[in-house]
Amino acid sequence: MKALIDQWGARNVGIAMLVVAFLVLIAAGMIGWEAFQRGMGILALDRAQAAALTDDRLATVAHGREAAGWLPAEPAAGIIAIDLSNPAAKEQLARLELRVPAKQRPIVAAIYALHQIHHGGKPGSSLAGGDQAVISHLLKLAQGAKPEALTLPDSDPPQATLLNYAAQVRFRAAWNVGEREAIRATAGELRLLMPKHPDIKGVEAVLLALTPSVADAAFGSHINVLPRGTRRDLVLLKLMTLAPERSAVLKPLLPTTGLPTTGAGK
Amino acid sequence: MYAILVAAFYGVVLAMKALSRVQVPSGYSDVENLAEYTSYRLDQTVAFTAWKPGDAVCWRLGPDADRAVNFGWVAALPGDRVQVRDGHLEVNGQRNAKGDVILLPDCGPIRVPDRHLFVINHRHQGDSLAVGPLPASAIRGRMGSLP
Repeated sequence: MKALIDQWGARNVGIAMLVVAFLVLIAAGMIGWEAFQRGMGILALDRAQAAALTDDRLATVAHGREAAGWLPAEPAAGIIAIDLSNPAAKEQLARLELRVPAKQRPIVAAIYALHQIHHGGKPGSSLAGGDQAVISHLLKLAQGAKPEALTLPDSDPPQATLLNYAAQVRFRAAWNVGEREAIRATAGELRLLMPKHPDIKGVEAVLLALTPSVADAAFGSHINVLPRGTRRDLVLLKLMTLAPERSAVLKPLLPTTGLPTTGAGK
Repeated sequence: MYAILVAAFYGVVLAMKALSRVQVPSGYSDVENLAEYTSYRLDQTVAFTAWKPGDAVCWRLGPDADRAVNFGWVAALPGDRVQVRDGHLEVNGQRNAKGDVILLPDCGPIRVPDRHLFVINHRHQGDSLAVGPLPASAIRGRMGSLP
């Protein structure tokens, strides 16, 4: 330091040190601000994923949007904020795909493909193993194929969003086709993947009804947990067809037809 | 001078690791006998790819105090096949010895999604049978052992 002062003068060395200190301060400020943004983003993402675990879709999207605001280049934050039912999500995904690091682009591309299928489109086939297998399976289902077993490669598992979506579509397809074994299998998948889904109690009732080893009493007590209403009645009517051996439990619970009794003639 | 700074830095890191404990909520009953302990050492430095089946794990299901601490074991890793057979969990066709009997009819198999763990505890409260496979962000850390 003394040599520097002797060579350049104390004033010049002081100014140089001040400049260096200023630059270091700016760098520290930028690092601090980035750390703050990252911290806030991770907190919001945590809240979004906690909401997703309880299947609170509105809270998930709200916290996801906040996380995406803090972490624009983080695919997990961007994806959780996406509402697949919204056609405008296509532009959100396209922007996200440009922002995220190259190695994370396949994650966004898979959600983009899912969005296309959801809106009746036909995505290309350029995804990684597990994701591509799910997308191909969903495409077949969209074309009216029966919900056969979903075959996945041993390595490279699919993303949760794709698996959860596929489980719901598979169950719906099996329900519409009316094949007992397919309904039982897909109800089981849905129960394991999404036990907090709002309709999971109904899915469990279907699973119990179609499992021969389950006693009528256990099935009956589960049915009583389901909230009364049109949705329950529709499930019961369908189960009468699918599982006639449960009619002793189902018949007393089915909606009665005809005019309400007036009590006249008693 | 630099040696002292480096030593101080490592000292702080080691102290943080040693002091990193998770408080067991009062009345916690999802893992047998765990409530006898007041807190557990928690290693939060475990990389996601380093998890193994059977590891004792702590996870959170939300920011509220009663959902922030859950304990159990890793039953399955991403890509593993999980199913329920005869009241027990099977992973890749092998029966998992942990946890009480599962009150579900036979169901599955499913594949554990990417960046997710399938965790299980004694009473299946707040574990993957109750909330589904857990994302990496829900995992708080690894414990040495659980009763």
